[in-house]
Amino acid sequence: MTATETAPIRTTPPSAAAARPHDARRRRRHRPEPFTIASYLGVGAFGLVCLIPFWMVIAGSLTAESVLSQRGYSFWPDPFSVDAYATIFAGSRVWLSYGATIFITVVGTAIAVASTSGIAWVIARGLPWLSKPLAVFTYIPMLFTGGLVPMYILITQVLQLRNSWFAVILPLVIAPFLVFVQVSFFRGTPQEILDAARIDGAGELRVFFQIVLPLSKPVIAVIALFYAVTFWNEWFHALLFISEPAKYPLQLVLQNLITSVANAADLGTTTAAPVYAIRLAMTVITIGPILLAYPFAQRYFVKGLTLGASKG
Amino acid sequence: MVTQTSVGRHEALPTGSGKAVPTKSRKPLLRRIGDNRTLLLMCLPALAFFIVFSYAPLPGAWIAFTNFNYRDGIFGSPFVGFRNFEFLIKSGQLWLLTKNTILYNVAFIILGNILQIALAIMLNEIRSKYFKKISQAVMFLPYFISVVLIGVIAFNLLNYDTGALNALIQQTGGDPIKIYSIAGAWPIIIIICHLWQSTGYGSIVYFAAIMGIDNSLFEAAAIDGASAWQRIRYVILPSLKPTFIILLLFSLGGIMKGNFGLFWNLVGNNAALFQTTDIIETSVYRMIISQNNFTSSTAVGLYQSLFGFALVMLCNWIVRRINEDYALF
Amino acid sequence: MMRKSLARAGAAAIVLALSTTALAACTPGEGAESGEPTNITMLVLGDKPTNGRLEAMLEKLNVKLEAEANANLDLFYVEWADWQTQYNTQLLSGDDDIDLITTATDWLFAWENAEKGAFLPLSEEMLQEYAPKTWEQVDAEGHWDLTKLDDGQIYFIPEDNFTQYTNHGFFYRGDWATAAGIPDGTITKFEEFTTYFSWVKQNQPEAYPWDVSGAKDAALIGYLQGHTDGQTIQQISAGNYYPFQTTESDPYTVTSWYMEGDELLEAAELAKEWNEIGVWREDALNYDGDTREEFYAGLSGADQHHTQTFIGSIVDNMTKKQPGSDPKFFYFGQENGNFFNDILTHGAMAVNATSKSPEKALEVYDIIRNDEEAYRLLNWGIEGTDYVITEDGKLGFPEGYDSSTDALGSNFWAGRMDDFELDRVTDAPNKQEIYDELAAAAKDYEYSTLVVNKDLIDPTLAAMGGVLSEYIPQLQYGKFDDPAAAIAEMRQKLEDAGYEDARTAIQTDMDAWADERGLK
Repeated sequence: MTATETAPIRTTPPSAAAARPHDARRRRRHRPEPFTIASYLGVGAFGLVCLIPFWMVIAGSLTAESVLSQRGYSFWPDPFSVDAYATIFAGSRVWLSYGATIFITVVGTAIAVASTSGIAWVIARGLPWLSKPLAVFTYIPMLFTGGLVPMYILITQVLQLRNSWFAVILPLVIAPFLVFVQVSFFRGTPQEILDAARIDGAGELRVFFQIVLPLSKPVIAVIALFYAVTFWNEWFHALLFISEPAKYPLQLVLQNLITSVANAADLGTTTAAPVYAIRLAMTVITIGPILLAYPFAQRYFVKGLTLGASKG
Repeated sequence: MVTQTSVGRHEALPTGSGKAVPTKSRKPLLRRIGDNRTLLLMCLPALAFFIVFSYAPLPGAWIAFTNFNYRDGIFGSPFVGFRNFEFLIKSGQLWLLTKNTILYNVAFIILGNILQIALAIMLNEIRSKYFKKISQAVMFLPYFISVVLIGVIAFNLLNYDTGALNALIQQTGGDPIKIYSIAGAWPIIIIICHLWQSTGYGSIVYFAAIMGIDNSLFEAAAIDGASAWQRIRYVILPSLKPTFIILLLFSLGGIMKGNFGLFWNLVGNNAALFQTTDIIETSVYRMIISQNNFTSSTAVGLYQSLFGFALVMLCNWIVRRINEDYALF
Repeated sequence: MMRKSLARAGAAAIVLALSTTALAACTPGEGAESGEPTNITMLVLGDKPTNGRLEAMLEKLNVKLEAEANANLDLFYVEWADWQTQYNTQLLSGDDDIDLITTATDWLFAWENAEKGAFLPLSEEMLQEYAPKTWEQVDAEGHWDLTKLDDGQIYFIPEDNFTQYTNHGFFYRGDWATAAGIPDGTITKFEEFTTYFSWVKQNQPEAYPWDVSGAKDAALIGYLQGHTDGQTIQQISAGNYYPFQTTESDPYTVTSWYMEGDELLEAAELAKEWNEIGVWREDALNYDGDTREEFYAGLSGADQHHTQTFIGSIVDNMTKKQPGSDPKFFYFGQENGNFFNDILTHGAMAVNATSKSPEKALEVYDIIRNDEEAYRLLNWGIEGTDYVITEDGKLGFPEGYDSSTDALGSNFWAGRMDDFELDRVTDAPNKQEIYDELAAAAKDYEYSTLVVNKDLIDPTLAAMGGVLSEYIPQLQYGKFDDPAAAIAEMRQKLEDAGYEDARTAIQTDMDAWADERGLK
């Protein structure tokens, strides 16, 4: 679905590559270079480094609470116990939280990608009277914020968004950083293609939707992934603005679990629930689905789709 | 509103990138807006979000200069000048904190980018589809592990009485090390934890950028018989330059802001390590933790922002002098 | 140019926002008596329970409230994650959906929030009319003065008729103390713990003598309390620490046991000795384990918290989990009688400044505080499912009740009454004895009505908090090779941070306060 659609466009640049199968690099497979071997080793080693602590989290989540609180984490769940998962999935709460998190992530990412792409293209167009001011306008919020108080008043009093998932979504809908990432990719769109389209009478919108966007699938996949992860991980706004437990996103449930260990001890209230194992199990539960987003996004990271992010 | 007021100032600027679509700069404003209404429409959602959620609350930073109370609100509360900034200076720590914060961020930026680029290049070499997919997904994992758990895992590995590392040392006949008393060890530990958490995730941008490189460049290199190193040096790295500069300019804006969660969960209240590990956020947190203090935290935020702002303006200016296309603005 | 006009627009938006809240604050409560019952929302702290028991209880309670006051009660929870931020932002938002607010002068910023205008000043007439029983009871004991700012207005209602001791001390095991050769297995002096800890270290290889975690200052404070007559001024904190004291012998002169005297050094030297014995983990500061569970599991020789914790859960748990352990309690200041009754504003109820029906809120509060049936429902739940009364008249739980999942969690900590409280089946059998002993010796906290103006010294306090957070945890765990030098250094840095200015400012408020009451 990706390569074939864009193939006609790729014939436009006067490059020898166009005539060849576009995945030429794969042909060198018969002669593996030392660097390729080193890459396998390097990537493999780093992968292990990432995996081991995560494995400890999984093992810990399956360990009996009493052992966990005394001996700490180990590589093998001993004695094995699924109490933590049983406790988490006992009520409807975790399912509701999944619902909340998925809503926030899907709706948030959709709005975010659409608005980011829009402004990024206008900046990338390089109109002197518009693009530069827009770039400055986009960058300033990255550096300066009004702080917690005005944001709180804005959301709760002006917009009346308390207990709405949009209170979590809207403040995060545009990340200046991702706007600029996209601008840099858009700038790599070959001018010849755009000019050709304009000569054919295509308007701004048609150029954008029929030429720029299809050429930009990788960067859209990247920013969509980044936004999705941001929304998935968000808990602070939810903490401030959502007070109905039925509407809590997963991360807030996790955060409450993590901190209630400390607070319960401080305040002398007793918690006999398997808090240590639960916070590990909850970590595992919150990571699961978002990991699936990666292979999904990865489908679009197909080479040859954009014709060079650089002008250098 | 925005465009109207800004036009006058920016009209005089030199035309930007060579790719810019030429515009007739003497056209009356309304006409120009009319001509570009589609473009304006395209950035309207983003503008609206910025205005409502970023710019409208900005004047609220004024509370950093007030003795804020709810009755009088942000702009009615008594003005107190720089009093909310005083504690930073009075603590006698400002220089140490600023230095630590900047040094950590410099280390994070330099090492982080090197590792991310290296990882992206190596991933690009991987031919096996499954190996690539699985290893990328795995590298994602650390980003999702709460810093609280990272703190707990680190303690499990490093503590003196029961830590795995000391158990290993003792098994091999060595003397256990009091890692939580050695200030010098912690910059390394913190940097490793930070890189562990962010490298896999951060390499995606670079990886995508490599994916975007025109295949013909690789093919030309292959025909010329370029070695792996030459391919990297002359094809990949130059292509990553714009991405790198954007990432750099963004990290510089936050150079006074620290990764609070990580530092707090690794070091916490262990003052024996503060000399090398205390950053602005951790110190401020300890100072105003028990105070109902929105004003001081806003004051600190302003201090950090202004520093970052100055640095970014400087670097952007330098970048623009070298190659205008790479500058943010 | 662009930025300026935007700033103006933003400013306008915020001014608008603030003025709408202000307007809302001025609208009088209306439609209270007619038709539909008024909804009253009470802010409490804690994790909102999800087991359905709270809702069942509220349904019953609301039948009663509707009949008696034509009102419904609902609870709004500030959950424990980052609760300070949540609580204070919630208050500043002026959210008019909240009517009653749980507060406290020592841990919930009651004075600060009252000064900042979050609470509605309660006139005597209003209290007399809408919360007559509460008014009468608090007034009879003369406790309204405890809740007034210097404008003479009442800002909250104290939980002044509820006994709880949140003074700190060590829990330890009588069986081990006896084995350590301590007479009667009862420790009577702070230093005696050295003997106890040493014995545990040598004879209980599985256990830490005192498994403790995090930046506590108990070892220092416990010593200071028992060896000086210093009394901490609870209104003034610097970071996590309380650096200002008076002395019993000179009760109106502000001083600091961190700055004056040799006792801090003695305490630090004792801590150093304990550290060398190996009383705690080498890395106790970074440890975050559940040390109470360790104590219950026999893996720690001591634990440290409130008297209330000892009576309410330590004795019960230790008796069940470590039979024969003979749990005992040593409270700080026991040797010289330097400890205090709880302040009466450790729990308090305020009315939200923006509440739409403050009168109704007071009516509801008067019922849940003073009507036994309503009180039992709100605090304990529904009899038979949430609690039972045992044959000997104690408060117990029904068969199969699991406190970790079945708790009611109504967390009403701002108006409990001794008159309605029952002994609990989990209470220590010698609860009354302990209470009597404490009541006989405890001092009343004299400075409850002292309001310190912190506006000018806040920066100094924050800076002092920074210095203290650098030295106190290390002194507490005996980590300095030369405690004397470290203390000298700390004192110098506190001076540099402005200690003397802060002390003078507090002294001025103290003088005015004492003069007004003819105390000096």
